[in-house]
Amino acid sequence: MTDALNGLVKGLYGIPCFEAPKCLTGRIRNGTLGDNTIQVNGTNYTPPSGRRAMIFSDVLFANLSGSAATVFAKFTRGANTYTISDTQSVSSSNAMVSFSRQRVLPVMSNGDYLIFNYATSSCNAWVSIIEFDDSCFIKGAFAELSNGINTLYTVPSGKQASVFNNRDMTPFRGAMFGYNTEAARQVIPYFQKNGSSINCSTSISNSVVGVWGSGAGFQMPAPLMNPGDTIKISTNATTAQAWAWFTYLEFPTQ
Amino acid sequence: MISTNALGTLLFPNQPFPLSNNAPAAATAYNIANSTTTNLYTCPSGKKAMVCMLKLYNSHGSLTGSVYPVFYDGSTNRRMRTAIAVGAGASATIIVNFVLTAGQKFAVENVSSFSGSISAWATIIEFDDGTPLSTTYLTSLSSGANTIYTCPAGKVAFATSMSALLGQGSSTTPASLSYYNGSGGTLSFSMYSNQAGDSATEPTNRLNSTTLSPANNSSVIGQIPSIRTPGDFFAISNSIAASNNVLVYITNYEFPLGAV
Repeated sequence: MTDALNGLVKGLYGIPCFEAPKCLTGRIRNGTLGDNTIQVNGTNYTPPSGRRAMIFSDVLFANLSGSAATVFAKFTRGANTYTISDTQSVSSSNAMVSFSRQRVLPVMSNGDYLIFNYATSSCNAWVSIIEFDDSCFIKGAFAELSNGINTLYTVPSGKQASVFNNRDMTPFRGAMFGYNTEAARQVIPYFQKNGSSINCSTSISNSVVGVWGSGAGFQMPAPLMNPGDTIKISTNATTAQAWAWFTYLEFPTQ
Repeated sequence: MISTNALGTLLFPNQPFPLSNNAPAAATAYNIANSTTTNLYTCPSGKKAMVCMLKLYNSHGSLTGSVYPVFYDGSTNRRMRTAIAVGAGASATIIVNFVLTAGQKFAVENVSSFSGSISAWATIIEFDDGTPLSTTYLTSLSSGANTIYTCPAGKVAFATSMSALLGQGSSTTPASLSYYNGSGGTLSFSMYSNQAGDSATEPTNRLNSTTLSPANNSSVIGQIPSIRTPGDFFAISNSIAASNNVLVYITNYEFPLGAV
């Protein structure tokens, strides 16, 4: 395992994790009340076709409005926009917010946008982005949840996978995040081996994750997953909308 | 925040990132006399060295000690931060996050009211001087805009810190700017993280909402964004000129643009 881990950190058995990587600074300059899309060089940022991107640093805000304000994050995919964080305070006294301290923002694909909703104007923001080819092993899962059991990810044939913490680039140490439109939600995530059935022994967290209304997340085990293994999540969604996301590495069977 | 180490190994899996041939270096002094500046470490030829942190211990039975971290730039000893207060029988630690080049030194200036009883340990990592990790600094400031760092052509600069470099700490210890004022009076400044082509004091690039105003013999640490691409530059706007006894610095790791 040590060799495998070293190999993975060194670039997945010698193969670079990031293919054609490009580092960018995403900006909101003098943001206004309401939604503000992260921009690169003055244009709303979405990864180009054939590319993906992820945020790998905290988000810094400089609130120049003169009074305290709040901010929360949204994620746009296709025609849908999802709230993906709780509301956080942004002080006007030179304190910048380490916004993603307890969460990881979703991996972005072409057509995705990251938005911050301000309850003020005159607020600058910075995010650090790394953009890479679609062929890269780093991928993201993002799914709307229905009442009952939802399959978020299945390892395809000929592949192995591991959940990945893209905030500190740590393989074999994962995190899952979710948001729903109600204050409390019974959520049980499962790591299910191929051919096994869902039960308590395959639950990632045997205890119920009771509140996902605030964009909460939790650490999840990240063992090496083999073809057919799945990550599922059960919810007691009734009237609320809910969604969940995580980052994973998917690479050819070694 | 991703560690520079992790970013380097992921971007360049076959290269010895982030620090080539790195090794810890000894930097210790015991029972330091007061009213003196005591050298802890001199960076040798062919090397750079990152002063990560400074730990002090005061064995005095009743009096609080006071110690400045000091950087010797080849000609002058320069205080780096607000004097560190070390309580009687207590220790204190600060993050320094400064990269020395050959011939430069890291020292402590003991301004305690008593002699002896203060011991100092600096955590220093030494590495090949070809490693693209450097501290850029200003030792005098003009009134108005002062550019501290501009990302060169062909590079992507990743402002980093000791904790980020080593993959330690948390997101609460990100990249930072350090500003020490020993000019004799209060100075005021604002920070700007500018894109190529921007004016140095473009309001939409401003990082602090109200002016930062360190008093004489005190310092301010400001959190700054991580990435700069060619032509991007970091500047401060200073209230008045200060030609002596100031030290403003940030530390960057420069990745080759060809890969990022």
